[in-house]
Amino acid sequence: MKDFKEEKTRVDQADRTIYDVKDRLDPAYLMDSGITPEIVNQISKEKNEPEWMRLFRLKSLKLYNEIPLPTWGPSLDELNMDQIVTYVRPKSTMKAKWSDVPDDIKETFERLGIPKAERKSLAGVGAQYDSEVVYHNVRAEVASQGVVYTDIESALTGPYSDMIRKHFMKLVPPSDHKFAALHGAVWSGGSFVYVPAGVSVEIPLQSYFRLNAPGAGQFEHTLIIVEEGAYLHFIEGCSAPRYYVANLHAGCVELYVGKNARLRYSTIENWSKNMYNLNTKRASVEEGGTVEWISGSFGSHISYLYPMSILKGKKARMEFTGITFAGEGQNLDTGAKVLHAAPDTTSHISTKSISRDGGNSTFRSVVTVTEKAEGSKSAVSCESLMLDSISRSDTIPVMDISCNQADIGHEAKIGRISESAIFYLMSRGLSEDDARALIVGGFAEPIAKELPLEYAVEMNNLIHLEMKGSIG
Amino acid sequence: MNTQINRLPVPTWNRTGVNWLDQKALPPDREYLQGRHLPYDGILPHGITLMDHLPAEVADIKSGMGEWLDESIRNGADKTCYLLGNGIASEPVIITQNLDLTQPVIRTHFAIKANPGSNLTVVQINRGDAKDGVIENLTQIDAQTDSFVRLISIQLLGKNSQSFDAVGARIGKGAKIELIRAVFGGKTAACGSMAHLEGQGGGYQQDTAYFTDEDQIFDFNDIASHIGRETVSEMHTAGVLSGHSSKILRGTIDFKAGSAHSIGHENETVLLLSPSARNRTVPLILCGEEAVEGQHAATLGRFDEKQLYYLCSRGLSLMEAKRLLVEARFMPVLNKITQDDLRQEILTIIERRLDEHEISS
Repeated sequence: MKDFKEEKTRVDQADRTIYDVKDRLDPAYLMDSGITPEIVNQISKEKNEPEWMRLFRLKSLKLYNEIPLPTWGPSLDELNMDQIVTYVRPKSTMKAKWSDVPDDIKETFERLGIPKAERKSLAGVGAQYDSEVVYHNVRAEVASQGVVYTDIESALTGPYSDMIRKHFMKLVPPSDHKFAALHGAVWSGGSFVYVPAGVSVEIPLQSYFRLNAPGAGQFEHTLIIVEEGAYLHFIEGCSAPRYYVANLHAGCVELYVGKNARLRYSTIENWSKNMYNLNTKRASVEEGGTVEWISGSFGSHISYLYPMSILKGKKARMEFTGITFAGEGQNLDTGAKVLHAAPDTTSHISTKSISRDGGNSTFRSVVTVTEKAEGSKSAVSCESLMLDSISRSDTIPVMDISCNQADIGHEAKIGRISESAIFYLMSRGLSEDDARALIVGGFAEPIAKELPLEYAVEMNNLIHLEMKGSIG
Repeated sequence: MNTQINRLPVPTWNRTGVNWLDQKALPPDREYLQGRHLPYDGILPHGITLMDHLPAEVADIKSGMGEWLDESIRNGADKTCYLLGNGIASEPVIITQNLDLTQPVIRTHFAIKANPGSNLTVVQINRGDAKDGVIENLTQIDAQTDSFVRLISIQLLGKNSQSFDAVGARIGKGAKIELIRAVFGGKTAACGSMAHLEGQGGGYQQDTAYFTDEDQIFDFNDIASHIGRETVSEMHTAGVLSGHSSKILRGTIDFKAGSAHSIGHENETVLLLSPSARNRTVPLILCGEEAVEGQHAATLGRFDEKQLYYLCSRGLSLMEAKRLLVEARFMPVLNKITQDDLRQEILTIIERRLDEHEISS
């Protein structure tokens, strides 16, 4: 009992050492803060983009200025866009070997375990540092199958430029919402993946996004096209050191899943707790195709994150498995959206959330079934765990059904850790905090088992770190 | 003052159209003049008396429809009915309101104060029809310690009229309130209830049944606000949608800080009979307290094939099986209507609608 008390008083914040190491700010180019047509033109010029993209950016900026802030969700009043630096170019161009990446940047990614993961369990890695990709590589045997995995800027001016122009911000148009418009205006970095028909990429690809500069924004764009009958598992990771000024992440992910193709998109989000994470993710799924979202949200001060799936082909399928862990100073508004727009489509949303130490976790969803979606099925399940009474946990689902030949189910539960379960585990010799940690770990287990082993271990470590100091 | 009706307690995406009652379903733009405030003049059973004024502690009980409508009806009612429960009422108070050409607008303010330990049932029946007719009711209930109030609200208007039914209930220590609602009529029917579970051990039970038809628009906003410890809410809604109708149900269980050891359950089952009907369900759980248990569930869509198969295997035709399943949805509400003739009247409406729609094909 004594040991338990000592640990409680000693550990009051999760240990984020590896994520919180700050590199000296030493960019090759630092844009003025704020967002103006001059800044947007300058970003386009720095990136040597085609003219259509410059015009696209300016059109998006106009929309950004016209669209109001959301009137729902966590307050964004403290986010001052005039103080956000939208473009920070690191002192390195993109490399294909880690040995060519500058030492300080390389060490950051080494600490985060990215090169090691690449060697052990990935088919390719992209690493972005502030606004630009500094490393991109894909295994030769994967590339030889015709798989393209590159930074999106290279794709924009290379042999895939027509493909980029055809798909870029078509699923998430800049008119979608204010931060989609912002993304359209100042996007930078990100990855492009193309998996040809019938190709199965057996080992995952991963892109890792690191934001180092204080007061900066990161606006990477991820575009993935998985052609008919192909398979890909893509992993997205992100982190940043904590600063006392707001950082902003307004990325955009567009996924095109072809006929009978399957794409699994996994995210472990561990931004620092000064981050506004206003990310938009959307997938279009053709006949017989499947998109699977695995999402772990641990970081950020404020999050708006609702991956959307458009099931446009017959028998298209979507699965969303997510966990959100909101602690002190965090207001994480997460969930999923699905549009059933074709017959016999299916969706399954399963989420867990944990709130503690004054954290605020909100599950928000919308399931839309159009009149065309005869024979479709959807099941939504969300469970929330409250670890104290100074936290909040809200559940805000919407089901919009315009089809009389569909089966839609929804269930949600909220509660606390069962005292009888703690009592039982303590009677078997566990301390109270170990018993609670075990129960929370079990609560998150359905998510962990969907991740590759290394990432499940990372997620379990994050849960363990977050749980320390919150118990008792 | 915000004039939106049936506002979702916490807003969500505006494009879902569920944050409040659609503007096109609003009551016609009339001035809310100071009403005549004619008191109820019916006969009251033993155990219930009329109050000659509205107690201040009842006047401030908010309904689920929003302060603007509450205030409009409170200040602009044509008729008032302020009931006081003392002891056990010998029989229900039955209040019927009829819309017709001579009285196309009815605006009534009901208040029910149940003294400690009292027990009473009030039945409100709204029927009739008139071009651009409107019935607006506000019912404020103050259930004091260990009292029991059952409010049965039956809406059988014609399809030229609109109905706005606001209920606000404060539930004291050990008190219980039951709201039984059957909504069938009106081109627009908007209902908004809010149960303020303030006293320890207070209970709230709500059962709603609805059946839409043609172009009807139904809009519900039901909130169980758990404030006191060990409070319990149960909200159950069952409905059938047909024609080109649409319906929104916002159902919220709100656990306030301090409502420890409270339990809130909510569920909805919806059957869509028509490919042109639209259902929107928004079941919220808001939680600022650790030691609570909240659950909601919704089942939406078509007939359950396993149930149909079972019933057909017992000798029913497919049509008979479907009718049985539809009628079964309404039974939890119908069984709580103690007036046989009223229950039969509702069953007849259900039968007629089933005859008119795809269920017979």
